[in-house]
Amino acid sequence: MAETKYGKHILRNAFKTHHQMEGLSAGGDEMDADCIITHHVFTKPEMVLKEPHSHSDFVQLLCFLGTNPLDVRDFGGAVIEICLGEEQEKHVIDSPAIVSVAKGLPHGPLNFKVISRPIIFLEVMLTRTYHQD
Amino acid sequence: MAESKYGKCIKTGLIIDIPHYTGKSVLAHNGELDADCSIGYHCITKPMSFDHPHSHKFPEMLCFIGGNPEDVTDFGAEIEFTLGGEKHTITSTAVVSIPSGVKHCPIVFKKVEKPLVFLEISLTRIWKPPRRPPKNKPAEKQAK
Repeated sequence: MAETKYGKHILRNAFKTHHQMEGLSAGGDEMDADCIITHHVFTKPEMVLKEPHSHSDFVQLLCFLGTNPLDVRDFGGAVIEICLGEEQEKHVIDSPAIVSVAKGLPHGPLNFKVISRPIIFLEVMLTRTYHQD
Repeated sequence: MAESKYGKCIKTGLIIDIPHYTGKSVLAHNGELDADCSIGYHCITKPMSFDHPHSHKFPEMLCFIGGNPEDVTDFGAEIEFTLGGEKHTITSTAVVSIPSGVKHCPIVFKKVEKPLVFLEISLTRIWKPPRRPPKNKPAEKQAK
């Protein structure tokens, strides 16, 4: 389409490599919204965060999803460990889950410990630009 | 874990069956995330549409992602997306960032040759489906 008013809202090249593979990733300025989206597939184990950190001024949603489009409950046998809070309270995720990380809540380490089949790590950050404390 | 301070942050009960999608969806539209954000994650395997133009008082990001986990750009669908009255065609993985107040729909999944993920993220705590346009009122019964 040659000239349109709203075509700028459709991002057709929002790909970045943050982890193992190129994924869909759009920043706040790209979307002109106070939101960042990253959608990445993990095919092998990886320690994503070795140390805890926090974000004092935005909420972060960490979504862990399987990749079987016909069964969203199929988590492919993956095991992810995430620690929350100053106490580093450890939680094990072995089924699809969303972790809602409140402003200022320390999170990490984050360890994709067992990955037998690909899984999706989807992050939604309610901020225009990424930053950590 | 018997007693935990942060276990409430981990939501595992958000999977529901929505008939017009394939399989099950992950859905948090009613404040479940305890954040000013709602999420829906759906799989689409056959043509479908959202017909009624509407707008929201919050930004909404609609993502169309190829269903092949090894390559999210492996996209086998054609979607007609009407935004602000303009018709756009989506044939590759894309994010549509809809500002507050901009009318959108119809969204027509015209061809679906490979499964795709439809991810919706709205910057609101509670997301309610748009109202259908009012039907024409039946003619008033004539007074006897």
